[in-house]
Amino acid sequence: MRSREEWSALGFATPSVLGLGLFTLFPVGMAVVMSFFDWPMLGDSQFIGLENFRYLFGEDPDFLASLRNTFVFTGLYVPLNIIVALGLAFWISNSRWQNLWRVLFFIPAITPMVANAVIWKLLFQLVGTEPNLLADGRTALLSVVAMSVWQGFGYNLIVFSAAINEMSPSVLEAASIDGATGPRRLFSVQLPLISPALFFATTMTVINALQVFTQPYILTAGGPGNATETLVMNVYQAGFQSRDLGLAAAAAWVLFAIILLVTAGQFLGQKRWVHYES
Amino acid sequence: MRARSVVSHVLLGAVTLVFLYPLVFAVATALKPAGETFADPGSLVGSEIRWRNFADVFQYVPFQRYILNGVLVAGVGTIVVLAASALSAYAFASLRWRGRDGVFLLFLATLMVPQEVLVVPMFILMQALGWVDSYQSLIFPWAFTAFGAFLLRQFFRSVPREMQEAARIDGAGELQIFVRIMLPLARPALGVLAVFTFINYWNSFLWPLIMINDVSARGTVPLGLQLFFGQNGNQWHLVMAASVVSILPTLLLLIALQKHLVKGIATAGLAGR
Amino acid sequence: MKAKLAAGLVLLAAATACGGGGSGTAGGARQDDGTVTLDWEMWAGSEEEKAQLDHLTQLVTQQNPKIRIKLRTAPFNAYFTKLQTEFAAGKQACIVSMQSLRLGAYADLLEPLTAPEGFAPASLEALKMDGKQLALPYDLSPMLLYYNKDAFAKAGLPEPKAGWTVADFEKAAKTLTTGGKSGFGMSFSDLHTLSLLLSYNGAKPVTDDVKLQMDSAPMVDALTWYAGLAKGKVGSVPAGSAEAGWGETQFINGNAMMAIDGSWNVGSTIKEAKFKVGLAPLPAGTSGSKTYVANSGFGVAKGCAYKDEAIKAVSVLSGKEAQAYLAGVGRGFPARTEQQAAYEDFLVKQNQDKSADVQAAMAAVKQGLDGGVPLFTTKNWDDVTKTMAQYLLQAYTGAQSPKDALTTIQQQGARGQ
Repeated sequence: MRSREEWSALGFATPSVLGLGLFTLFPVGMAVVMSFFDWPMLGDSQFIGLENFRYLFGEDPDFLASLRNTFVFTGLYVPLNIIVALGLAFWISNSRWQNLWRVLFFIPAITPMVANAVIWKLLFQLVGTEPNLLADGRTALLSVVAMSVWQGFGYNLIVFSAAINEMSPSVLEAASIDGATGPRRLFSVQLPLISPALFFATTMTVINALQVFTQPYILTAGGPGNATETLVMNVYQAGFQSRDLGLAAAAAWVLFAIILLVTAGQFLGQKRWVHYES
Repeated sequence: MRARSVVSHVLLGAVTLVFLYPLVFAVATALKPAGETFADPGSLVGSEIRWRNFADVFQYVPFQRYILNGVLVAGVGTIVVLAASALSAYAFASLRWRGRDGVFLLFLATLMVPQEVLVVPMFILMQALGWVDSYQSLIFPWAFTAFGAFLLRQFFRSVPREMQEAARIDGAGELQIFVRIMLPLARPALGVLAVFTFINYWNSFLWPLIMINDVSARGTVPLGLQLFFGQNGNQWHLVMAASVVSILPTLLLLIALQKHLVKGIATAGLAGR
Repeated sequence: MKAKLAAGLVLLAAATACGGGGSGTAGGARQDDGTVTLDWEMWAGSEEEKAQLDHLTQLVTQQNPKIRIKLRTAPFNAYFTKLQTEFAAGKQACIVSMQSLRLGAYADLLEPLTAPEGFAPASLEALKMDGKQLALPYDLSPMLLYYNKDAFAKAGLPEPKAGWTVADFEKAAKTLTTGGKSGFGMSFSDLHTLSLLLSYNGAKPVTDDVKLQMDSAPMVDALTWYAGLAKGKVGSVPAGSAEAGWGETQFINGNAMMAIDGSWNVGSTIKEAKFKVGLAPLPAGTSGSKTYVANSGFGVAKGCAYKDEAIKAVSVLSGKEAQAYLAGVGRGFPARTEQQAAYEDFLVKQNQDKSADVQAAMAAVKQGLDGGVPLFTTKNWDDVTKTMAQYLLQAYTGAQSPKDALTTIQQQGARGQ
């Protein structure tokens, strides 16, 4: 016999549970199944075991490159984003117009990515190097990183800036009495104090970076060569241009596995450097 | 000390100007006459200031339609997200039931699944539901995220349990407690969730790109922007004008709600502790 | 509580219902009074283009009061990706617009039609597959050389004309490369690039039995020459793999003095350019001037429940009146021979002060059609054009040899052709 409270709970939770089941859990399971099938967009599908994964890692001309590019992008984008956001957050922390700066730097982060990318595309054209920065395999990915940092760091800036404002004045004071100044103060007092925010921001930024799509799609279309192909572009290309949904599902699973591994690694590693106030 | 502050602010202003240059450049190019985009790239002002370009955007493509579609999809989406999140958050935060923590953990686990993993099976699901190329395909698949439930649960938990107990003793049902007590208290959190949900829907690109076939009827703003890369060569002055137009709504939202937004991000960011 | 839940369910149910498309099957519906509404899928960019298409839908209803057409449009560069998701979802329109280059992927999805009299044979040929007429054409467009007359005059160069050779073209391109401007706007788009390679030495990317041969010796030779234009900025190299339409955009903005583009842009280019626009057949290589002819038309999707009505509608959409109208608004060079004169009239009227340009342009179009052949393509042409964008660019910037670039395109394209 369920209590009145239990019946109510059932009512309150049902819409979300149903929605999440239908639109998240079911597709996740479906994606597993599909990745073992030859599943063309038109026509019958057929079980092929691990063939999709074998193709991705063995034959696909772009998959390994897109894996490499995604890692390079993440490896450059995340540190740059965090450093720029952190540096500016400390810089504006003493300013009387802190809120103004926060809002200004936040603008590109909430405006449509397509618009931002299109604007940068024209800028790159007008810079007019020979060959264009977006047409040169050595600089194309770097250009995509530059545009992405510009558009994305505003979010972390706000997270850091809030954390800095909440640093406990008594701890800072104690530190300055101990004679901690400059870099020593920064590394041994301030950064540990905001390490939870740093951890949160890094984790989220890594997850976002691994899913990069719109910027290279608009700026470089994956070229030149496969210099800017990313994992999600690979998923989109395999599924919706080459019409091979099974292959796309397999590629998506590789992405998911990487995200899980990296995030798990971050959570395991956080004990070493993240200090939570008790 | 004072002089240092002035220098710091001047430098900060300079950095901000450099940072905002792409947006300034977009506005400037949008106001140049056709064919002058490449004429003198260094100069921000063309031979005349053509406000007409902005009107031309709306003539060239049905941009008002894309804006309307965007508002419809983002608006309905936001309402569904708020309703579903608030209801389940209440169940997780204020009610006792068997399996609650297990279900909540499952909710949190789904936060890890990136949208890109879901697009392929979601496409099949939309096919099965007959939803390909429809508004509801843009709204519902992403309306049941665990993020909102998580955020609001934290908020509801901070409400003293005595308040609810007292109401129960007075004979109030759970729905009454939810509507009369909890929702009004959660207004700031709901507001933040609403704004971010709206912006996410508004800016979304990959999913509408896959889902919407009749762009002229059901296209959203990011899809509409793509229209300018047509068969007739790129009309850069119009592309820039359209980009500026697409940036404006979110920019206005930001200016109007900046305090809440900043506070919302800060709370979400500090929720880690 | 219950009310809210119920409201949610009703919302979901309603959403499902309006997504299902009512009582009709894919691509069309019959009303109680016997009127059939057919969906028509077409690419369109601007509102102006869409208004022209709307006019055609009215023509259909005027001539067949029981048929209504519902137009849906997507931009050209997304159209074919979307078309296949529609076929996959069973939501394809009854009437499907088709470009000759993309026919390969849709050969099994379109009803064979019978072509009436009055079409230029080349326009029908390009929309045939295995002897079946899969769509009825509305236009016929050769690729042409667009050139900046003012720049030629200023440099004292003779203007391109029929019989102009590849050597003349190269010399002109070099002479016109001054002051940061390029003589020629390069491209990696299929028609724009491949037509010049064809004219250079007859190189074909696809064999007669529709197999990819990107890395064949003539292709390598031709691309080596084409990529060589990038030296010293004689050819303006696209600024990235996302820059489809680079050559013609550079041309119209006055940054490149020549470009290859389809005749469908004659009207808009003459109108928008700030200089005098000249047109000529492609420069003649070892076996004379050649070019690709591309055209588009309307087909009927297999599985359309109102096939007879759809065929009637297509015959109106590609009929005399429709083509006279499209020619009259400058949409393209008509596939029906009788209506072709109307297109010239339109251009002359549009460009009162440039009528000599227009007449010369029309002569070029007709010459282009004489040397023109259709470009038949493989089923996975979308994939091929994507790799062309990525790897031809590598050859232009010198990052890869033309042979390596073509080998990569061949290898990637061979799968799934």
